[in-house]
Amino acid sequence: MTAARSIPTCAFPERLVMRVLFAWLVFRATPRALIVNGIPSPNGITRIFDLHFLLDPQVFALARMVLAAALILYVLRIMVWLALPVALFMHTAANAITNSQGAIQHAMQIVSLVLLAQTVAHFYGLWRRRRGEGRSILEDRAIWWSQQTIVAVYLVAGITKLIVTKGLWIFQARWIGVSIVKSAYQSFYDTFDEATLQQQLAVAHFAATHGWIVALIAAGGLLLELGSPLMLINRAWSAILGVSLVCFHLALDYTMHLTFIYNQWLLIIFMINLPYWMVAGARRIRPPPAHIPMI
Amino acid sequence: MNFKSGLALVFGWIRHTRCQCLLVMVLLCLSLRENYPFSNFPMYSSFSRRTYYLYLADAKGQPLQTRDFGLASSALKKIFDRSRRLELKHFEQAGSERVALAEEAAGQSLLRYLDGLSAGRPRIRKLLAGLQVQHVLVRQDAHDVVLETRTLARHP
Repeated sequence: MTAARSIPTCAFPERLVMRVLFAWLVFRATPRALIVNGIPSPNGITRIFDLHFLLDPQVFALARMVLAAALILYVLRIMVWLALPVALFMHTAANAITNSQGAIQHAMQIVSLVLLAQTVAHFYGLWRRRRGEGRSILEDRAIWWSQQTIVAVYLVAGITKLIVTKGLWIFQARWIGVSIVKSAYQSFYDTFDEATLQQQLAVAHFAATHGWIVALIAAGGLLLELGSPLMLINRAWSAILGVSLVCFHLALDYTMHLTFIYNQWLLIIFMINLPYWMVAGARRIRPPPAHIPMI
Repeated sequence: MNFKSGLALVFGWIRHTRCQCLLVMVLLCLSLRENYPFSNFPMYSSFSRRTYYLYLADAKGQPLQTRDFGLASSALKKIFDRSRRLELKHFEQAGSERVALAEEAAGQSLLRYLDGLSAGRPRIRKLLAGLQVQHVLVRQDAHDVVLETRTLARHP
């Protein structure tokens, strides 16, 4: 029972808000329609399962309805053993198809991985329950594993930078201006937004002429990624580093138009966890009467 | 401490750590690399003095919004990159012309992909006649960023 006791616990309102927001995020992170040309470059689970049936627009529309139903069950905590695997399959299959066009995007993996962690945590919890573990731990473990998965994504991104550049990432970051110009024009040809292009080109010009300042800022980003496991120490570390990472994403959005909106939402939902801090803050201002039990 | 006891120590720590899920996820992502839903998240993992981007233009050379084709420009480049890698292998014996030939062939392949995408989508099909794939090289020259544009392929 050591492992169970070490899992941080969340109050019911926190768990409810997390469930509702995560279900909404999974639905939002699943494509509305598959605008693709077959599965020309199978990636991930498309190599294991034949997912061509999802390319039929009618089948896909039905799959989205099934996903919506699964997510409603997940929020209501009814038949979670069915809801989670169904949601995991639908969400992962749809995004694996869009990632099998020869162009791998990195926006959705974090959502799929959190969903995978929750599914595994749920079934592991069911197995532990047979061995006498308490019922209440089931959802707390899913949240705890979700938090670890979010941290894993940042840690892996940091480690990969060091592996690919043989530790020279910060040194190379002084050439980031070239990448900012590329991203600026790529965004421009998506939307033809001239004002944003000029703003990003100004940032690129600054980066090209002040390479070492930019390298120092980039070093801060890399430290955040490598230091992300600190978020697992306690709620305060989780919130402080969670806010720092959201700010890091907002800075990347401003300079390079790299939004990573799902990363930001997952940080807000599972790491920053606003409901806890709102309740804690309210209690600090107006402590509850002694006879009302604390949640 | 010998190797065996060191290994036992590591396994003992893994067994009792609160962060088993973190360890498993990190190992899976690093070992399985780009296999959805896993990834080693290699975006912007390295920088160089030169890179490039692509855009689509009509028969008169006027730029078109990539979103009109149901794609983002970053996806367009990645689809092109995949063909480019294959074509570079194909033109291995082409000497100094290798890169140029591979990029032109990849440009043609990108047009074929867009052709396939237009099946059953008349809005995209209308844009195809005379469509050009433009390649823009971006390089840092001292403190200046220089852009060089060339046409890689034209739709008939």
